[in-house]
Amino acid sequence: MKRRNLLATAAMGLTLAFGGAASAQGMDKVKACFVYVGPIGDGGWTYQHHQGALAVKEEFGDKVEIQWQESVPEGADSERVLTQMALGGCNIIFTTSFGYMDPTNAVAAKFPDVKFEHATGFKREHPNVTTYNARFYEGRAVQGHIAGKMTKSNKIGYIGSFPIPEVVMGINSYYLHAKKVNPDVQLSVVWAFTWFDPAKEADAAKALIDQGVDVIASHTDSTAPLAEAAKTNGAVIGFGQASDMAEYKDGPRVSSIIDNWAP
Amino acid sequence: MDFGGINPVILIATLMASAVPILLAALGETVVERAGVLNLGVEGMMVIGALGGFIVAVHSGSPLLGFLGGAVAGALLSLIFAALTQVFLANQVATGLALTLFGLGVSSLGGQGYNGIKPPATGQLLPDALAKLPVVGPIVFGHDWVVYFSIFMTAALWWVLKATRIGLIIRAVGESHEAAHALGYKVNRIRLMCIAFGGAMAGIGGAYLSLIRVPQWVDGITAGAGWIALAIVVFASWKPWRVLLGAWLFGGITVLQLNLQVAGSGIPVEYLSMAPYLITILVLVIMSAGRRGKANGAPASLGQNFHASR
Repeated sequence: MKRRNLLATAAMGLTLAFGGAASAQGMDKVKACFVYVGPIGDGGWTYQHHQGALAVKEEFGDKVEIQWQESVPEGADSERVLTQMALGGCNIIFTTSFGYMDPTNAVAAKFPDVKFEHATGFKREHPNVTTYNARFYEGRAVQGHIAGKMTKSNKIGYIGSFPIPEVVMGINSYYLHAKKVNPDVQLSVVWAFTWFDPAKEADAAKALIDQGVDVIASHTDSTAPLAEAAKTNGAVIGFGQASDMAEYKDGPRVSSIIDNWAP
Repeated sequence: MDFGGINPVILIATLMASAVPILLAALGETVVERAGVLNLGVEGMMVIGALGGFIVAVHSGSPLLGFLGGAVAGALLSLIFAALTQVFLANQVATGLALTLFGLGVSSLGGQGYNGIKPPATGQLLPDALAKLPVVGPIVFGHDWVVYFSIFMTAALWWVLKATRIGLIIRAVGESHEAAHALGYKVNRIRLMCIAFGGAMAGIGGAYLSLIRVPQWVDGITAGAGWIALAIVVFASWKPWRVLLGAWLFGGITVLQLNLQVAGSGIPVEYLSMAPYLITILVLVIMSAGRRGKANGAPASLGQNFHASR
């Protein structure tokens, strides 16, 4: 099972939204701003988003200026950051986490000339707010299939971040496809209630392993669950989430979902 | 021997390991606060220790040197705090908060290029034969050396603070720095050493995260553990054994909460997540009610700067 299943969930969102914004308003130069929920160095979700931002810069060169802020908490803080970005001359702002949904809409109401792109949300209360998402569940289906086939204890696990559409979608897909190839499979879901807390993610993985789970999928942003699985010397396998997480390819990581947000 | 799908033996063994970072950091902070200094920069010192330990371990290939590196990194950062508050008499609360922000930023900068590297592994200390014994095996024998170190430090600090001359001096400085000064003790110098000790302990706690618990370097790896350590010191009313209890309680609830979820228990996560904080408040209320106005064992000079001219 060393074969690498590359599931590039390429999101065209960035290019489309971006090209549209620039040409519609006839601008020479666009300032694109990104709000990240974790640090760029998380090796997962935020890292891939930042790769997307850098790819935008590469693609459009002088026509675009990018700006970003890392580790912005979801909630009131993000509203301040968004307001500051809008005041600071950003033409389009990408809010890259589900929890920025309400702040994005609240700030968008105050700045009708600024475009807002919100990842994975479902609220578009103003004409200048749109949402974008990728078909993560397709990757989860493949992972579920692998999990169903690979599990020896018939117990598989999923570390969920928050019970929101994007995550529930992934869990359902994972479970349904595991069940399809292995009707005896049982799924345990642990909610970490955080996007990024390596110690807690490791604890969650350990709790699953302690109770006999031998395939772990995670929906949090760091590589900690894989590191925990690596300690079992091959008894437990896992998947890369959002990014390649290639440093675990010789150990527990059997495949990865890679979010490719580049144009 | 399972209760609701949870094996209590494994649960206890896990919580002992998962409480190590906050326990070590809280023990260090206990000494600092007993000396009358309020250092709110624990989070910053932990994260610097996590990075310092990680870098040293990766380059030297030795986890032991890594922990030493973590201690040195934490102590060095705390010396900035010491210089500002003990020499320049800056406000301790503001300086401590700044230290946390500074530590997080510096570690993020210094950690560039260390993402995705695996540190050398630390195994369990004792042979497998002992660790495989039923019940006592996982709980008593199955740990890495840092877990034993953390318990040893609890005992050592309890003894030092309670029964030795050094402990008496530290407490004197923390209770009444003017009296200690009048007796000829160098208040600021003693405090500086305590601050460095606290920094080293927080650094080791942080290194435990990046070298054993997670084990890898990611930005912001401590994710608030330093703040919990600060809460534990208050919860423990500045007493080492109670710090141990508090750390295991906080660590235990986190582990229990995750295990209950796996076991499919119906208790909502939110109740367990807030339980340690509720208990902290309850303990504080009960303790301060018993002593009629006397503040729950806090050192009397806590947070006050000292200068010999006063």
